[in-house]
Amino acid sequence: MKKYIHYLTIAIISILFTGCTENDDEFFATESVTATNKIEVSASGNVLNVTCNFDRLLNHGSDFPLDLFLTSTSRKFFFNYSMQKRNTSGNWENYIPDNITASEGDNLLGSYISGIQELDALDTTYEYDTDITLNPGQYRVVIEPRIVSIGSQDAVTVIINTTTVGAVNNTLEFTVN
Amino acid sequence: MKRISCLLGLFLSISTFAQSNESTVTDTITSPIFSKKNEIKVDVLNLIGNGRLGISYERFLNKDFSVGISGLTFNKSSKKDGFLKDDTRTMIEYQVIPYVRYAMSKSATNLYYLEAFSNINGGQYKELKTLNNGVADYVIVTKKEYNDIALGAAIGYKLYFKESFVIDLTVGIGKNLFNSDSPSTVSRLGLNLGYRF
Repeated sequence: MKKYIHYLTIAIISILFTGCTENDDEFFATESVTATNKIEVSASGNVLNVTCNFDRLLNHGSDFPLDLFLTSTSRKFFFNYSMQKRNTSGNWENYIPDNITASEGDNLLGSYISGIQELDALDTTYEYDTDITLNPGQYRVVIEPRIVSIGSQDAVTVIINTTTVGAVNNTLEFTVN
Repeated sequence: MKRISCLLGLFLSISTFAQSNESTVTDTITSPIFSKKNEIKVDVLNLIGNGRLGISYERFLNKDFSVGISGLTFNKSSKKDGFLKDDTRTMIEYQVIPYVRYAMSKSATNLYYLEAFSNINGGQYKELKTLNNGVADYVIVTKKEYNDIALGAAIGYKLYFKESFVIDLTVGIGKNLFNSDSPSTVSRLGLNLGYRF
């Protein structure tokens, strides 16, 4: 009996390792392009406005624009940003807004905000426009200037490396009175 | 591939354990096993794990050396269908593996061996291709064919029972030499059940 357990152990381990060796050679279907100034932030009164709009046919310095939808087959892209608020001790602490309204696109809230751009009805522009209403205080918003297609498993994931208008080094500090 | 190294270590310990515990009365230099010079085997590991059919023939030249050839072909249809969507870059569709083996132990009924092999292999690989529809570029995933030849080494363990039937476990690795689009390495991993005659 011990002998058969011994053989069975060898067989099971071998089958497990066969699966591992078959997956060593990985392929990531990713196309990265650069297009500046696709994210914009501005603070006015007690409202922080964040927008991100870009054409489906994205000009990225090549002879022809890149068709984002044909490449990614995705109607949604996203980028992440986070907010911090200065506490009474003068230190920055993570801040999750509770009054956030998207007039275009959508938001996913966690420890950071995922701003989701959605392709419009004419299939021409990916759009995102969000207002965040804030209580008085000092705030800081930090943008990750990387826009990525969502749900491109069956096609090519597109990554747009961009810059942020209205923020220095992708960070905007402002005060709400 | 680091896992193969781990497996090699594990396998060596298992082999040593088996070697010290399974001597039988037939384990002598006069065993009738030595008079049988041919062996055919089916690779049950690749059949179950990868849906590949693998058949081997081995010819024993003397007590120390043998030569053989293995052929593996076919993939699971599910793997072929999902190839463009999964995260693997290459898919091996056939392998022809001529090899030479040297028996490390002189036992007739259980032994481990060293193997040098070449691996003639081919299949498909994926790459990104940029197309243009007259208005804009777009990028798609395409697949192409490749063929290559690898050289490598393996170790293995054989256990005979009833003087004719054999379990043969082989673990090794080879490096493809000529085609940059082929997998850089090919594993030599098989659990064969066979018959010696």
